Amino acid sequence: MRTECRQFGFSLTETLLAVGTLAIGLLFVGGTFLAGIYFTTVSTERTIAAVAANEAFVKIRIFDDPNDPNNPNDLGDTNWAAVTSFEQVLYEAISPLDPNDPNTWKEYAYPSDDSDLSARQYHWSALCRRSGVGSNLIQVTVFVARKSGAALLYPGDRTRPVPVKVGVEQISGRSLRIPDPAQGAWINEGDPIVDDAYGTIYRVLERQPESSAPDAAQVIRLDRSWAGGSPVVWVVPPPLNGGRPPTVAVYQEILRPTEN
Amino acid sequence: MRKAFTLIELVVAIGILAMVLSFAGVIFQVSIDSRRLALANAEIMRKLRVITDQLDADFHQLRKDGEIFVIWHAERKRDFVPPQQNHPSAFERFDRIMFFADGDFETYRDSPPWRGNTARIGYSLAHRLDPTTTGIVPHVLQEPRDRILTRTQHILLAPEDARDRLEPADFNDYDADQWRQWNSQAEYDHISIGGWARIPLPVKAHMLSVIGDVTVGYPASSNKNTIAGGVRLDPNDPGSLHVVLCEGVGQFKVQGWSDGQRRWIPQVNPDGDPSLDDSDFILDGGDLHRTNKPGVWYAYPNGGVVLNGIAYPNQQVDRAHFNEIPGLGPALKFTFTLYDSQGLIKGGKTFTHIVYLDK
Repeated sequence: MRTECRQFGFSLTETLLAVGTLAIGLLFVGGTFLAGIYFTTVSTERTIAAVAANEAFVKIRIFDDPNDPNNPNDLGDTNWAAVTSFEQVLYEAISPLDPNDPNTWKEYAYPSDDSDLSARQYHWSALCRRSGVGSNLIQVTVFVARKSGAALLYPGDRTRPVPVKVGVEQISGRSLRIPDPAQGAWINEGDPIVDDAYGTIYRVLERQPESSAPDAAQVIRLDRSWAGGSPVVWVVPPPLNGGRPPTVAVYQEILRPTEN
Repeated sequence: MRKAFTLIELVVAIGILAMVLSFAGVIFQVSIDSRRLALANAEIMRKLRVITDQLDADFHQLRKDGEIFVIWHAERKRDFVPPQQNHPSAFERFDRIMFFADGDFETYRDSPPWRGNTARIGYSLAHRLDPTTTGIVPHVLQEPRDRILTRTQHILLAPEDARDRLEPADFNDYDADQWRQWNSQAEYDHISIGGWARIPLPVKAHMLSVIGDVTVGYPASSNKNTIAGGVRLDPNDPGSLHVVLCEGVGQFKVQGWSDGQRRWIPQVNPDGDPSLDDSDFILDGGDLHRTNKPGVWYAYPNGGVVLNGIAYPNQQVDRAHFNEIPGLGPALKFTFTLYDSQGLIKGGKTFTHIVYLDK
């Protein structure tokens, strides 16, 4: 009697399927590493942003030292008189320290030290608004933004990331329309935006073109209903030469400045 | 018929598997490296929070009726690149500061601990005992990533609470060991803020010399620093470890905002050009003086400021003029370079933190 010895092995198809499944599994495992790294990076940046914002608030206080007429080198006053209650004013426009002056620009960078030039990649800027008509309280909103390359340029020929005004129109509770196509790309998903009238901070959940036309207006959806009293928001736009949205975090405090 | 893989099938399958595994290996290697780097970053962020939180807590309740003593100490980095030897980035700082603050303080080594609401606090980088040679390795000779930032805290206690005899009245008779023990290990002083101000100037000079790790020429002369100056850490002595605030701190810089100068002072090279002629540090020829260090002693009526090129009247080193005192002013800026324990981030990361004093 003869018995037939049959040998069973995997077919090539089975092997390829198994290897493919293994590869996909490994990619998922690798992906979890990358996700973890991303969130650690976000956490690191936000920790730095908190320290940088604290530094910004202190600097706004100390640069506000009252003008001493007997001291010819006195820094001078912050022009708080130019700050009203119905719109935001960019801090650098009223500050005695010029961010474009080669001697003082680093006060707007973080870390503001000259011992490690490569580390200076965060910049702060602030918006100021009087809390009410005649009030001596100033609402200060500090933007901390990253500049990931020395050659980066921002709208308005700026060399540092600074908030700019963007015109908007409300089209529903949480949705705003950006009518100017040139400003459409200035606001991106995840960006914080600040209402010009009240200083309320919103976060952008998504941005989509209104239609398929090339110059279509952009529509943004916010994390909560729009209650702004002005058709203008402030945002730090991405660099003109490309790159991710620069804003790391936005902080707000009420300060009581020294007004002469 | 025998069913099995053909040689070609095997070769193809093994080849594909090898490719997949090699890609996966690369991805894993990159992921693991990035994860290590992320962990190193997270460690540095933890250190940053530790230091900034402690500085905030201490300076939030600074006692401006107490003395403040700051010594500014700059050294050229060992790895500076000529001809950039005078560039600001070629220097690192070993500043130290002493001040009084209110808070809820308690001792570390005593059981039960002593508690108090006012303390004399000092920040400085530590000299370290080398366990192999039993010699002291000064902070400037340690590798930057091995340096340790210390925070000494001497709670001010009434004399009747004292359990040992470490008190300023006896300081004239102190030997080197007692000075070291007082500065680096003791956790309380049997004295009040007012009593501290009344310590005879020759004794005060010894104390400032030890605290500031500097030879003092005013208000009296003292070189006690040569035998006991600075905070000294012995890694094998648990009694000295309570002063450790953070490991891996490569430099520690203290600067005050000057409204008149429109900058933080002191700086080694304010304009950043190849010359140090505008330095706030004492010069010896065209370079930093090896031993004469600038500083400020905020103590009315005997205090004073020593800076190169910045004159300030001693009689205005008082509370009424606090915001104008060079090196103090309305805010202090601390700069520190932090290293991770694994040495993955070469050169460390530099941070600044400002505490507002004009409350």
